[in-house]
Amino acid sequence: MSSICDTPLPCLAEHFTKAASILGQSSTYGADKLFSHAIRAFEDNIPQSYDEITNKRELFEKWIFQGNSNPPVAIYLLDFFRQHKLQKFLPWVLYLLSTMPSHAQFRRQILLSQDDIQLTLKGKEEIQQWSHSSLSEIISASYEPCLSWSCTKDLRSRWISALLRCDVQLGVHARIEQFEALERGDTSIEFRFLGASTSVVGASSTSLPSPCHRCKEVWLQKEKECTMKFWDKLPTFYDLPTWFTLSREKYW
Amino acid sequence: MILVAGSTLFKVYAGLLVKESNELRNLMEGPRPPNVALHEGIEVIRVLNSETDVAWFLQAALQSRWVTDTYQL
Repeated sequence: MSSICDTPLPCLAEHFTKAASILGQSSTYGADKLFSHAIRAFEDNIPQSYDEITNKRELFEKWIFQGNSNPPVAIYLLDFFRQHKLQKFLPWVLYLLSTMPSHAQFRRQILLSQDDIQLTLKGKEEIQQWSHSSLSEIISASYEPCLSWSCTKDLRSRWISALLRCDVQLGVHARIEQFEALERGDTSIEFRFLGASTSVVGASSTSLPSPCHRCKEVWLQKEKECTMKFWDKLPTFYDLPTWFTLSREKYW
Repeated sequence: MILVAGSTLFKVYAGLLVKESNELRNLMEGPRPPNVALHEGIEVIRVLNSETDVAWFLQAALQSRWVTDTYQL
């Protein structure tokens, strides 16, 4: 956007804060065109389909978990989107709240309403269940007949346990990033924890043995299918209507 | 018209603003209240939003400054 920002975060914060402000005012004053533009600012930064999970995640996540805002923007946004009948953004905000870094969870629990605490915890539980079953589906898959000496049971269980840790601690999007890394030929798993003010407060890396080329292709294909299923199910984890229904909602 | 937000006055051409806003159009085209406030003959409307909010809204509505921006790091 602008080249006058010295550091990205204030600029980023202003971009979304401005979008939220214009959205609220255009709703009050019946400014339809501006309202649509303001929605687009969120659409451009909140994933709208499964293949946008990783590339649209980062900016929005940095903004909503900025450390110095009280209450955190994510909590304000839940009410804001509900108030403006923008339910299609709720699954992603709730998902981010469910998978937020553990050091920030205590704060979340103080500030969220009782209903939303239950909703995010329920979502977290369902995501973890989904995560367990889909991971074992992906990593157990193999090219038939795989004759490689490398694709052993031990290799698969090491991958499953590393990716499970990744899912549980960081969320499904982190796992997707790991498979993108695998596709590029990288077999180390990184745990990067975003902290307050978006700096990395903790990181660790695990190197894993590489599966054979053909099994890797099968894993990547399976992972894509599972990610699509995850995306389809995401609203239902939070008792929201399907994406199809959410996308047809009228704002006025 | 003059919009007052906090301690800031925004003097804007109503004709442009009402093209963007149904509510403001209804307000301007409807019957004028008898005790309407005027400043140098221009109607003054107090709004409840902050100065910053109103400035952003007016920039977007009148100058299209915000609406075409997309954020990139």
